[in-house]
Amino acid sequence: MRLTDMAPGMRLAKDVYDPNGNVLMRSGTVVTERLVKALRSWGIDEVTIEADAEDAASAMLDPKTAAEIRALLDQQFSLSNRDHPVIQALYGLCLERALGNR
Amino acid sequence: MMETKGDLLERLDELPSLPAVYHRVRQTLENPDGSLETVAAIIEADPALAARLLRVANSALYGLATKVDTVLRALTIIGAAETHNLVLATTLVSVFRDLPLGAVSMRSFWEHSIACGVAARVIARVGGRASPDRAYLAGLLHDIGRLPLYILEPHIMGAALQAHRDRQGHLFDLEQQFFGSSHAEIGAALLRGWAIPEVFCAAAAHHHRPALAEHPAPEIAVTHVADLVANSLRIGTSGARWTPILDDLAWRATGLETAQLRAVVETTIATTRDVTSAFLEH
Repeated sequence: MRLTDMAPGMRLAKDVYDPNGNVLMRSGTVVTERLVKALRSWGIDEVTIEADAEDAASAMLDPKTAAEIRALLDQQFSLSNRDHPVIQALYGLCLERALGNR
Repeated sequence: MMETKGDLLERLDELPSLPAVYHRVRQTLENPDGSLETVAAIIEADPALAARLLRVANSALYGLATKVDTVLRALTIIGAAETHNLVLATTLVSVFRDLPLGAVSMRSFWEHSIACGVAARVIARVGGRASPDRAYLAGLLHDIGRLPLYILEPHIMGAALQAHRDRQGHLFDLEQQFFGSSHAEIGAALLRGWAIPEVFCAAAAHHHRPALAEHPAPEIAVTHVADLVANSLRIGTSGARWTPILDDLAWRATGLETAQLRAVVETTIATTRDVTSAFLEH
């Protein structure tokens, strides 16, 4: 999955390596905003995400619309403290609700 | 712009006041010789209020096992303390329901307020630190100070709102810039002018900056978090469009765990629509 489509709360399905072959993040790590930024700073733009039931459902959605919903939520939460786990959880719940409502 | 703030505080009496029936109910409840029978009789003398109050009492808010069809029965089940809160909420919403607000619809304003009240009640119940009944009313009243801003200074408030939509900052901070005050401060002054119990004034005053409260109370912390939940879910709005900043200490003071947020969100969504129509629909 591309970084731009990743949302907080997803889990990495495979270890992520830096360009020198060192492990950056272990599989099973929960995706956060900070983690996405870290990946981006390493120049990584695609990772494998655990495909549980919810992800399978969201993969079936039109990816453009899902990206649009994320963009709206990103804007809505842009003035909040997104490094706080509670804000990340709320973001995740809002995302789930928005995707479910389409 | 400090004169704007002084101006506003002096002009609060231009707003509609709480109806006499609220004050009569409150006096009766505070009178040691008063009874719920007397309170019910006062309410029934105003058929519109009695009908509205029964709708709210039968809404998902109280989750009564069976439908109640008399005011006295409703008051007996919910108890004297909650009777005060129910009559205050019902009369207050009725007084302001049909006024035009300009930039924001009154319905949307009350939807946000009710969502915040409902979320506060759930958070208090699940977290176990605040009284659910008080948390609910604190949530319902938290943004009441926005009404004077919209009604008394529509142009300044319109400009603040536009700046907020352009993402120049949180509406609360922009109010400070434009008015030298905020809906939190004005709201607390309005509630104090109505002699509403202090815990609700304090929750309105500090719901954006709970850390600055002189006397921290669980109801303030719960209102802060409930406002954030209602804003994130975008159930109605009092003008704010962007999710505010969470105060970590307030979060911890609610006693809530992150994993319990899902239940809070689900109950808030499921309950708010029904309670809103009980309060607002004719």
